[in-house]
Amino acid sequence: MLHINSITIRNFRPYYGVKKFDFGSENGLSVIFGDNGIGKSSLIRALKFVLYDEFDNDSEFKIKNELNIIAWEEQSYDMYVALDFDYNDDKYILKRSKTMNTMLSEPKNDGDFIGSITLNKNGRIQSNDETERLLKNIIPKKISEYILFEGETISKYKDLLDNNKNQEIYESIRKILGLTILENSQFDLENQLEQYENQRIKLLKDKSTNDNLKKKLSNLEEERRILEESIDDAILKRDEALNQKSKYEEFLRSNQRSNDLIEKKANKEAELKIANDTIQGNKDTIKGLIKNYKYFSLKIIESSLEQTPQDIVRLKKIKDEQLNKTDKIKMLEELLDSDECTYCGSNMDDKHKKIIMEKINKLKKSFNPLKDDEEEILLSHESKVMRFKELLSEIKPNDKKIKDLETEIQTKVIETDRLKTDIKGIKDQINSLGGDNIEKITKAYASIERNIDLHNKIIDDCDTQLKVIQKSIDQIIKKEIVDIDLSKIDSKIKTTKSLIEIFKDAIKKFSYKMRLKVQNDATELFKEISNNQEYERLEFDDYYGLKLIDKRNRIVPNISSGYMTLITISLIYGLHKNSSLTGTIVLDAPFSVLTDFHRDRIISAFQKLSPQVILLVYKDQVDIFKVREQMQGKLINEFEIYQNKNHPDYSYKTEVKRWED
Amino acid sequence: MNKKYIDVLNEVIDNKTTDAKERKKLKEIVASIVEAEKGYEFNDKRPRIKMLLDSIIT
Repeated sequence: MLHINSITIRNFRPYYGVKKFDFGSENGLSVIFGDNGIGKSSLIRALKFVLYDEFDNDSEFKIKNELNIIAWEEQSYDMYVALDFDYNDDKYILKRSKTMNTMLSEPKNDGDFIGSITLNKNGRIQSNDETERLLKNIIPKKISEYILFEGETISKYKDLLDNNKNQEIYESIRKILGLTILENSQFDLENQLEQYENQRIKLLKDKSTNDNLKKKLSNLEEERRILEESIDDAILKRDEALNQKSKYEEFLRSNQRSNDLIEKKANKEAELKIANDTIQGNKDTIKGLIKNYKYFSLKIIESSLEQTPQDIVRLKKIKDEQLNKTDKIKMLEELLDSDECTYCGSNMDDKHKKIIMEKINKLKKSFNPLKDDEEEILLSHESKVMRFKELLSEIKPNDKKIKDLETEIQTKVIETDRLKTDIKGIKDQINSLGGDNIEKITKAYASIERNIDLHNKIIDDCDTQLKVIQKSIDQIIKKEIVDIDLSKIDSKIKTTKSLIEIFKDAIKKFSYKMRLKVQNDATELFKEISNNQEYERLEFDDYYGLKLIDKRNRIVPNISSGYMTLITISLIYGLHKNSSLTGTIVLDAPFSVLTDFHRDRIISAFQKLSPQVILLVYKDQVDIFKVREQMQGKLINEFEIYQNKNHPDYSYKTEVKRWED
Repeated sequence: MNKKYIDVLNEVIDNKTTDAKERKKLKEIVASIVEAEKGYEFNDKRPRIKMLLDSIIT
């Protein structure tokens, strides 16, 4: 429970210098009387300043508005408010100040002031974080409307009567009634759920990766198993083969002569194969060599070259004669052009020239050239002769080569006949020594040796693969696949979801329950202070909208301002009674619209509102003697705030005076 | 003060949960949550609550 012991103010608004309201540790009503503009509301503002660092003005230079004007003029740029209070058996002194930065001569804006706060708990200064935490818990700003009732705040409560959903008051009421704890729980659980769901997504991802690795590992292990089986199988077969081989060796050792013959036979067979291969090779070569000339035989070509057709001989003769004549004509024409005879060296006269001319003409006359088709026949023949000559030059060496190959074939044929005879003889010898069995065993021996090599190769290959697979397996194992179990996170998610639902339902239930309680308690006080038998009860809707219900269960319309104040006070009472945060209530001039009767009733009810009530009133609003009588000893402090009009600047120098009995 | 929350919460749990073991578990958890939240009623920063929730939710 909160109890204010004192408020000390320095240079704040009309309070010049240090002024103190000492309420003491006793519970009861404290009344502060004062005229308008003297500093009653400033006291509530001082409380808001010290508690929440809040200034109630919209000026750009807020501190200048709040700092006492006389102090400002005296260049005393510092102000503070200190609150001495008890809370749950602990003693606190909270002090908040604003002081001009000492580096400056005159402040120009709020930034030129240094703000400081100290919270002393049971004689020990608290850290800033702890101060913030404690203040948030003891006197949270969110419910200041519940403690500091200035005119504006009371109006907000009155809004509840006008069916206006005043969200600020509605939330404040929920906080006062303790719903915050449940709402915070729900909020924190929802955040936690979100976190769990994110964790689950991550785990699922990890699980998928692990599952893939596990699958890969399983496949590799299966491959390893198959390889190991293959190696075992190959080793087994190889060992069997080795065993068999040693048996064959034993058998063959005892048949050395047979072995020698078998070897000899094998050599002969190899020779036979080579001879046969040579024969076949030579045949193929001959085939290849004669392939190109299959349309020509050497004899045909030679006879073709020897026998020239008669027509060609004739045409060639004509051609030769013409060429001869052409040469002669050319020579005579050259002679005709020169003056000197080329042959005798004597000068040629016309007579000679005439003779030459006649010769030329005679030769020209006898000139009978070949026709075009004849020329063509002649050329074709000459071309054919040329090609035949070329063929002759190619065929002759090949012909020799073929003859050599044929000779070799003959030799090899003889050789193969001899080898076949030899092999037959050796076979007969082998048979006489033991028959085909030895040969078969010899062959089987060679085969088994090949098998042993094959098995050894299989073993080596498998072993190489096995090493590679084992390396991959080791790499996966190194990654330490941990089994991811989603059951734990699933369980947490399930529990959190259940808890969220539980808190949601509890909020509804608790809210309903508290609303009924506040409604009943407020009704109780309202009936007491209104003393109007026509009105039956107060009723709240879900948003704490207030309704006054009359005896005939009708909603009372057009509630007067006075009744609104009575209902507001009743609501405050209902809230305080059901709240976990009980403590001081500071009320600023709540009587302005009340009749004397109702004012007296409210004053009587103050002791019910809260253990400590601080009432700020106009001097003439209440009859102090009557209050003293009504409160029956519960009026424990009476202060007057005033201004001494004999002092200069008295408007800015509010004084505090305690009224003693 | 806690009692008034716990009573309501327990009532909700009783209505919602039939399994006695689960009821007991949920009641213990909500009692721990309410106790912890009480210290941070008007504080928007509640990192310790987060840690606490994770440790008590199973």
